[in-house]
Amino acid sequence: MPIIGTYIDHREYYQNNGNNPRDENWGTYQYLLLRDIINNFLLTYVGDDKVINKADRNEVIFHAKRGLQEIHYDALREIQQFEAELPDTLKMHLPHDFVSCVKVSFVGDEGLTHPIMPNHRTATPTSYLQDNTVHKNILMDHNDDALTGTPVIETNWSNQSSSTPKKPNPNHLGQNFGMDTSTANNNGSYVLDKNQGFILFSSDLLGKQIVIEYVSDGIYGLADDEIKVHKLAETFMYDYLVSSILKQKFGVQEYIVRRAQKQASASLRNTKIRLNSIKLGELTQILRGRDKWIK
Amino acid sequence: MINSIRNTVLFLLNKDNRGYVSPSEFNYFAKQAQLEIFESYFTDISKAVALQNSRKKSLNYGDTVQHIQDKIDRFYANTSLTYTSIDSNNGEEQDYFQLPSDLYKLINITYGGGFGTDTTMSGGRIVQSVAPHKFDMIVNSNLTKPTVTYPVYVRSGNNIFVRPLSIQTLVQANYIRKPLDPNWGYVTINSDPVYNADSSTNFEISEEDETELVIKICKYAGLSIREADVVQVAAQQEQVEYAKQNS
Repeated sequence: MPIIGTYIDHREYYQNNGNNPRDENWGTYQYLLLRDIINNFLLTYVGDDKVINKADRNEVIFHAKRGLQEIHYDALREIQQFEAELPDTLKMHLPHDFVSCVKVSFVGDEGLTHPIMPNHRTATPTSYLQDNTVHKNILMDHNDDALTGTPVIETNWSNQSSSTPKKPNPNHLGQNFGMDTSTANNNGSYVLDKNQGFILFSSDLLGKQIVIEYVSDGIYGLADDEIKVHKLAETFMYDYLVSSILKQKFGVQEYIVRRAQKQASASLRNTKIRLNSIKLGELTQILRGRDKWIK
Repeated sequence: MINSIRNTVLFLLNKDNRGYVSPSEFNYFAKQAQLEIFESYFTDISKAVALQNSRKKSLNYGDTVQHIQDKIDRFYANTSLTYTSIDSNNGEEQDYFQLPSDLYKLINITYGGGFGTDTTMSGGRIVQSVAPHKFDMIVNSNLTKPTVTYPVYVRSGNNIFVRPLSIQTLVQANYIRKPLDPNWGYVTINSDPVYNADSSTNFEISEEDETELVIKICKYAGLSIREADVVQVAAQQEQVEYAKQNS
């Protein structure tokens, strides 16, 4: 387990004291443990002479984890990446801690990722099994629940040969009304079904290494003393806790609640700005293209 | 302290030949008076905090909260708790830790260290007290389920039930203990009881409360010897003291 929030010497940081994995402690200094935030909060923000005179630890834990989840969704954007080879079924499960998709791409021979566009012209419905009567009645099991099977769309999708999608794809041509730029991509397409937890890929991606970039909530699969928070979000966590606890506490004046909410909101904005990591050099490099002549 | 208090009490009671309090009676009254004062610390500190929060208390010498806290902290104690494993009842584990017998008020329960143990510097993890009616909700919550990092306990009488069940050692109670019963020990010389420090147990509450102790013991003694004057004066004096402290 990486050491977070505690001083470690250089040998332990760079080489993990000779233990494997050697890189376990790399980059840990930018984080602190949620456990420490909760402890510091109870120590510093809760007391007889504080605005929050009493707070049960389980409430603080609850709000701290909720705050961490919230900040993971928009401000932190700690993008997780998942790579796997696409099977013959062209169907791939979502990563275990998947919350929201950021980007799907495949890995090219040169090691670069090539973005794949979502396909909005199809769907992943639940397919009900029917009998062969005229009415095509839905089949039930012995518990009177409807029987379901593999949707036709999914079967057709996986039955495509890799050469079926013509290149350029008819999607690109647009015909009467010009090109539909939303599908103007030659890298294949995918359909994401969040409810059933899978992604279907177009057959031209068969056998390729697929990379799914996604956002998680930062707490999945971690023990309570492993959950970490980026230091740039520390102030937000404290302000969020104050705000969340005060707004559901009885007898707190409204102006105090408002003040706490404003503070939490300002901290969130600050955190987003800090974590945006806009670097002047990179920005300048991108803007150099503005003088480009378009012929 | 106990001898001087007894002498003062006897002097006050015998002033107009009102009566005599035997050593055993004195010890009973002393115990009762000490307990009464000790228990009042906890209500006093609560009132003092309220006054402090309304900016009616000053710092340093006027810091009543700190002052009372110091009086209470004289009774701070800690001890390791022993785990008792018993057969499960209807599938629900009933293993428990027993709290110390001299417990008056529990400060907290720690796991894996705590003040006064070998692992002091690493600090123990606070085991949170939860009400029985909230226990199941906390255990079933995906965010607050008790873990070794955030353990919880439910108290029932003198036993505590700690969760998660993997915690079976290194549990410590930090608490305020009950004061020891005061005892004015004596040897009999010429039919008279003479103070014997070796067999005596002194008052444990702060020496600052000596006046209050005398008043309270006089009140009980006045009731005992059916001397209305003594009771009345003691009660009045108590009122004066109370008013002084809370004005």
